[in-house]
Amino acid sequence: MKLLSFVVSNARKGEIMAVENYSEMVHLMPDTDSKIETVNQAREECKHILLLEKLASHIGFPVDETMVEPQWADVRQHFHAAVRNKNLAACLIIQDLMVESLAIGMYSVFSSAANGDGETHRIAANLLQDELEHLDIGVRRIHRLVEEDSEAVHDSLMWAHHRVMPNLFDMVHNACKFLCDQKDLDCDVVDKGNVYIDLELLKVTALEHYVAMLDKASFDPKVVNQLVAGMAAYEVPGRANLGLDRLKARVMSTT
Amino acid sequence: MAHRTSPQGALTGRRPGGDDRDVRYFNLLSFIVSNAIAGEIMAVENYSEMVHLMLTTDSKIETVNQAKEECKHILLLSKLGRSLEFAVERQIVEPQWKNIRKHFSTAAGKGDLPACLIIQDLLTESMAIVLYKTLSAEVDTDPQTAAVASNILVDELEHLDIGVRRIKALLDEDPDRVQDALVWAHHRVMPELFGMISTSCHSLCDVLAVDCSSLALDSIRTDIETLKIQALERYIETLDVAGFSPTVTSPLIASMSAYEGMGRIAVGLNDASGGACCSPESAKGKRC
Repeated sequence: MKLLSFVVSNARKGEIMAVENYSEMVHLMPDTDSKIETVNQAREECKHILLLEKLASHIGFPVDETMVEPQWADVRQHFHAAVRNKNLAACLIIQDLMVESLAIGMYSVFSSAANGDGETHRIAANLLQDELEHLDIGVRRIHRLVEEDSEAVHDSLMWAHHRVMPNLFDMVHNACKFLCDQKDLDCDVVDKGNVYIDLELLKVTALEHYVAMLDKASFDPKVVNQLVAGMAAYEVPGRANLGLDRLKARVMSTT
Repeated sequence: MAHRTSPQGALTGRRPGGDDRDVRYFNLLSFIVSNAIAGEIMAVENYSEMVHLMLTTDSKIETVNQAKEECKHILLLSKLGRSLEFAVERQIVEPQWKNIRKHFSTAAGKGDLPACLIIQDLLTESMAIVLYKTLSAEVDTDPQTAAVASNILVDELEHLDIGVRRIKALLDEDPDRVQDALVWAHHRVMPELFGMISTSCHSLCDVLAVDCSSLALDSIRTDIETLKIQALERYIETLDVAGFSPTVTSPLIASMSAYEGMGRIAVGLNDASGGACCSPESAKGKRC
């Protein structure tokens, strides 16, 4: 139950950050229709917060602020810096690609066949659909920006990647350690009744989505390869392997 | 223009829902509704930009909902233009809106939540209420315009209530900070808001390609001075309801006599003439 509380508390924190991020970039959007579209994205993230709170209440576990990982604040700060610099491309890359990839990884795990709990499965599937749509919107927007100024967008990707991915990476990588430290739990794989949570699978799924999105957004493979290769440095000997070799092999095979 | 909906330029003919109205009326609506849309776009940006300053998750969600409602207003006003076949602009043209937006962004950049709330929830919403109340009088406008304006008015009144509640809570916590924010916001924003109901107009008529000399508020049976008085009364009422000290608000209200046209109202020198909009070039040789 504590593991479920941990995951949902962090998911809710991610949704709150998404509300702030989408809202803060509204004024950077170039026309009225895209401003309205972005407000709608923020509104959907609000709906997700309420759904997650309802899930916690329904199953009977607390949304616990002490379980929220500190890296969320760093990601939010980097996004805020991008807004201050009026760097719309960086904002889109951080929120629509990076954070959404993590969200999709998480909700994919929750809505997978392995999860036998109807309530969490239904809610996760619901949220997953919105997040996939947000990712598509992000890819479409990035495509347009790349057409206008490819070099500037790639610069933004490099900046955002080096700022944000270590935070996201650290968050999923250290999830178990953080939770164990906070709540004294063994949480590698926990089977809570019918709710199956595999944090290792979550890590790999999120990273796979990120790399797939970089590909889908038509970023230059030369740049993408360097970024993915650089992620090897995030892994520390002794820690669990995140499956980066698999991702690197996949990227290399596409080039 | 990529952002414009409906026909371009001066309008001719009669339209469903407003069939007893002439071209002057629709040109005036084109101007007013385009300006209202600009205000709504600014509101969308303002509410969105202050979400991250809100202190609780519930108040963040509430603020996103406010932004969403302002988006709905843009769509409603655009649809009104299409329905009554007058041109509307879907971008901010008049410099006053841009200036207010800039002041808001400055406040948001400083993390000054009271100033943000005062600018958007109190000052701008007060002005929006006066506008939509004017347009919602069916006897002076037309059934479709009145229905849309009434619909939007309900939301704007609610936003004002939300703003008053929020400001009251902040006044309880730190009255000095909030009164300082009011003084700053008043001096920055109120001249801009009142500037938009004066005879000075910059470029919207040119963008809409309507003859500004044809615009006169008597088409909706009001005049600029009446609107200014209504806006002033609403503003004073809002400050009062929000719980600001009269020792702070009285000098602010008095300072408004320095605004163009306000002194004349204060001494009862109403001249109800004049178009709502004239660019300096267009105004030459015409009554505006």
